[in-house]
Amino acid sequence: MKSTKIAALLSAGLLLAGLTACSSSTDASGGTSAPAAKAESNWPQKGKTVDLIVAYAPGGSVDTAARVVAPALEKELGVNVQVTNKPGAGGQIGYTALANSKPDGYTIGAVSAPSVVVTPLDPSRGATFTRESFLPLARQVFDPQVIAVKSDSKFKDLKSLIDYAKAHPGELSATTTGIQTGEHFAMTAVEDVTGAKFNLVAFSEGAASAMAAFLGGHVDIYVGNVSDIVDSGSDNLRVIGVMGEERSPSLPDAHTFKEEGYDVDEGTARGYVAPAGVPDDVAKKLEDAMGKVIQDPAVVDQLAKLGLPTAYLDSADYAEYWTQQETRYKKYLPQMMADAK
Amino acid sequence: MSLDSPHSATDVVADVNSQPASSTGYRRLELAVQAFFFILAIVTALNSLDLGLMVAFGPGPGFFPFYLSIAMGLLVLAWIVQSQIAVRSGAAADTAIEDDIDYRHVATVIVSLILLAAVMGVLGYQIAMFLFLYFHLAVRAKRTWYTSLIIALAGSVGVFHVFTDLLSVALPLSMFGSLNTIGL
Amino acid sequence: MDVLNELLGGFANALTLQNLLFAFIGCVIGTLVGVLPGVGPVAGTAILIPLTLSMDPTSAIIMLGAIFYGSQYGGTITSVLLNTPGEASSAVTVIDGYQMTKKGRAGVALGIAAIGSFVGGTVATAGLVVAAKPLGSLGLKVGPPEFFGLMVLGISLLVALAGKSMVKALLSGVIGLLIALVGIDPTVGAPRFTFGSANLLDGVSFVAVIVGIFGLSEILVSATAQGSTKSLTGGLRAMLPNRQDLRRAAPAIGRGTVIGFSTGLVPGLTGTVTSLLSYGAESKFSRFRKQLGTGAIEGVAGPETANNAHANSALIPLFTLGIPASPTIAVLMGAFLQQGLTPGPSLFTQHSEIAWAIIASLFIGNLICLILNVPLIGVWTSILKIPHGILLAVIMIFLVVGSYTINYNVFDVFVMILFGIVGLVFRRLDIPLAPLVLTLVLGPLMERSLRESLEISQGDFSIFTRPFALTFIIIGAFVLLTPLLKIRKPAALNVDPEA
Repeated sequence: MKSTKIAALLSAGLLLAGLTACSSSTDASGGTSAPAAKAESNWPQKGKTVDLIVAYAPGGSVDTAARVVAPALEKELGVNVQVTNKPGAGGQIGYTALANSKPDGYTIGAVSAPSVVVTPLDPSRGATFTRESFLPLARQVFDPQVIAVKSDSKFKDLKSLIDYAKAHPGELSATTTGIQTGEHFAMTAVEDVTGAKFNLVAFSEGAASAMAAFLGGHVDIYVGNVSDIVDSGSDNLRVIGVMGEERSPSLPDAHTFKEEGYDVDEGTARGYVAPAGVPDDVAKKLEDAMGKVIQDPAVVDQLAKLGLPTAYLDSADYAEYWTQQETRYKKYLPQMMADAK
Repeated sequence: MSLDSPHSATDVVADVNSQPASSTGYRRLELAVQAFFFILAIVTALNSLDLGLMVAFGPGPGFFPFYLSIAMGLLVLAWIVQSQIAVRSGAAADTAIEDDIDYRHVATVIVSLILLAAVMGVLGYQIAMFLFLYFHLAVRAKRTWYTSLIIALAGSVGVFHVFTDLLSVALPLSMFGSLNTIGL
Repeated sequence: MDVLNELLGGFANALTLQNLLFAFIGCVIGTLVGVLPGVGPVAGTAILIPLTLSMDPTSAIIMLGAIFYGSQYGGTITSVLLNTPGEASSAVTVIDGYQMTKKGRAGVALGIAAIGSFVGGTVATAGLVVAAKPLGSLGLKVGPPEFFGLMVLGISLLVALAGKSMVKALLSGVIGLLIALVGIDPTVGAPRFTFGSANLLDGVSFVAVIVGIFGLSEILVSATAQGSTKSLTGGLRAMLPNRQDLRRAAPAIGRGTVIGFSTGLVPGLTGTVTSLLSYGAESKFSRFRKQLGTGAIEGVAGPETANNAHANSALIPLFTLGIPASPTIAVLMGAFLQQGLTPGPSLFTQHSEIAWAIIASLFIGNLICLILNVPLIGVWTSILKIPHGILLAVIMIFLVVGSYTINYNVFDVFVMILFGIVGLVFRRLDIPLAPLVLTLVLGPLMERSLRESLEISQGDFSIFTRPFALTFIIIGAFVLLTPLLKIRKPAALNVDPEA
């Protein structure tokens, strides 16, 4: 029958197209059945692929940074590096997949704090992984939180804002992107250190919707990462405080909290990890490779365009930084959960 | 009837479908669904009380689920009343599908889909989809074995490579290392 | 006039062979991406961005932009031909679009969708040229309370979608709202109805639901149905909308343009919301509204025009304020940034030739997409000639791959299967699907904006008495409550004695 022949031809064509499109072997993360000792010494094997699991949707800053890193890492390791998105539940889905994957060096992942630190600490989320499920490889980004007000606001500097907030607790509204997000922790820390009290409004749709509400005058203060400010082309705001050790190169005129006398150091930390249990020599190779790639000027440059400042920490330092973050978050968490009621 | 006249579309339907509302197949399904949603309404209402109806600034997590499940329960009751009236008065069944559901066909498709989804992670997309397609083409649609083979291969291996290689969209591979080495 | 000069300069740039080529490529990729459920313009654009970095910034953005609005054209194709939405924003097109296919008018549906999309996109871009800045600021005035009011108004339209039985329509809407509540609640962050599964923490995936409830349910129905899709004969002429169709669709296109253009200005209103609002508006205002659901051309013309107008108008907040109105635009914004361009007012002052070239290319790109899609209608509709058994198998690949690639998670395939059953049962019992889809989309937005409003006002409900918010809420409540009086009449007594 004519139509059947057409259908058969079409599908044969599709099959042919598919086969010719097939490049090198496409297996990802499935390890070989070779004994462990052998796999160690010749990692990475030619022809295999390293899976870079990104626990967030394509297009977000974690994903974009990973897609800048992946080609550079490919060059460094000499094997395919494939970005795989496993978004959902604020990263929990991807982190769970990463924690459960084989620790043979062929799966690594991109993580972002606070979510990766906080998720296991909150019992209601039912996370099946803990900090020990991961081996930190390198930190790439430290994106400090900032406080901004409209350009025509009566608050010209941080001190006047904090003083006002102390005198009128709960009157000034400030944006966050949700419960237990970076902004929430940042403002909890600010309240803790300064004694001021703010009215936190959660915009769970994300930084963009928080920015829109802020620019529209519905909320007084915008709280977000440096990268959010840089990405936003708006000239209608003034950053009056940066919560980092030093001033941000993208916002050279904005004072840090520490400069103004408030000891607040909060921000989003993004880096790369492998599942715990990777053999030592493979781990070392991964750490070195990541270190090279992250500090590569071309990569640093690309990230800078997105407003993401590179702040490299090697595996050991990253692990220690992680511990510090966890301690801080553990301290704030009970109060934050009580506040929500 | 021209498509351009603003008359009711129900004019057309009423002529075609003359299945009474009391016909057994329809009625059985209707009663089952009504019972299901009624019970669901009760269960959901009870569960949402646990979530808490109010918090400091307004409605709590359980607020909307609670009142919505009450609404659902009431609506199901109204529906039950309406369908009883329809049955008693011998009116035509309200439906968008004229014939009774072919449960055998539905079951076959659903079960095969569930198996496909369940097995996809274990055997990988290609093997699972191949088996699925071959089954539906050769067994169910009774195509010739070679047509079914070609289409099944195109839909499994072909599609896999188009997505994974050309579009950078990763479809699942099998769990078994040995299969991975041959690209499955 | 200054703006006109700049625009003409932009056209000069956009009409170079290179940029035309990239606009064309973008349209093609966009259409393909739109056809496939799961792989949406977000993923498609994000994945392509690294490849575009070595390109000239103008060409790169032109191509990526074309992918974005091109995908709106593509999403229509599977909605109309296979009852399976390729894009969430084309979900509502399946209702009348597929019915038109069953009546042998698939080409007309695709044609009117392409034409309407072109009109909507062009008008929206003209708006960008003429009044970008004031419109951008206007959009910002919509804060959480106003947004909440809009959502109430939107949900009230479900009443217009009711059809014969108000009870069943309301039931469908309530069920949609309950499904929408699954996930982490915006109030305290506690998981709701997730049964301990991390997969449900983000809620039930909308695309999986619509792919199942429309696409899979159709397969479950049409087993025994022979070749129920009429095979189409006749040349291209016969497959395109004729003058009568165009005349009839014109008001719907007009309404769709206005709706789409307006929603694009408000951050948070996505293309999906827009197409739903348009369908609701058609149900309320169209002269032929009684035919909606059986293949009325308005049911395709309105939403498709609206979602394209929205796609183009959503660029206004991006260009004037640097705010991405939806996740898709956010990815486009990322593309700008990686090219070293910061979208926002500074784009016009620092890189004005690039900005205007991009805007000019929006006009051109919309035209290219139209020209590209119309002749292809014959190609697409020939899909329907494939023997039934094979077509079914192909569609099922579609459904499975489409739902899997939403989140690269097999869980969504199961969701799709479940809602396939739901769709089948609902259709058999004449419970309308449109209200469920409407509330599933608008419900979460409504709860979220309620939450945000109350947090801003710290529990004070008077925040909703702000003029616009109050207006929307009152209209919405009015629309919602008055037809409730209809419930008293049991469905059986509604049979028209003149039938």
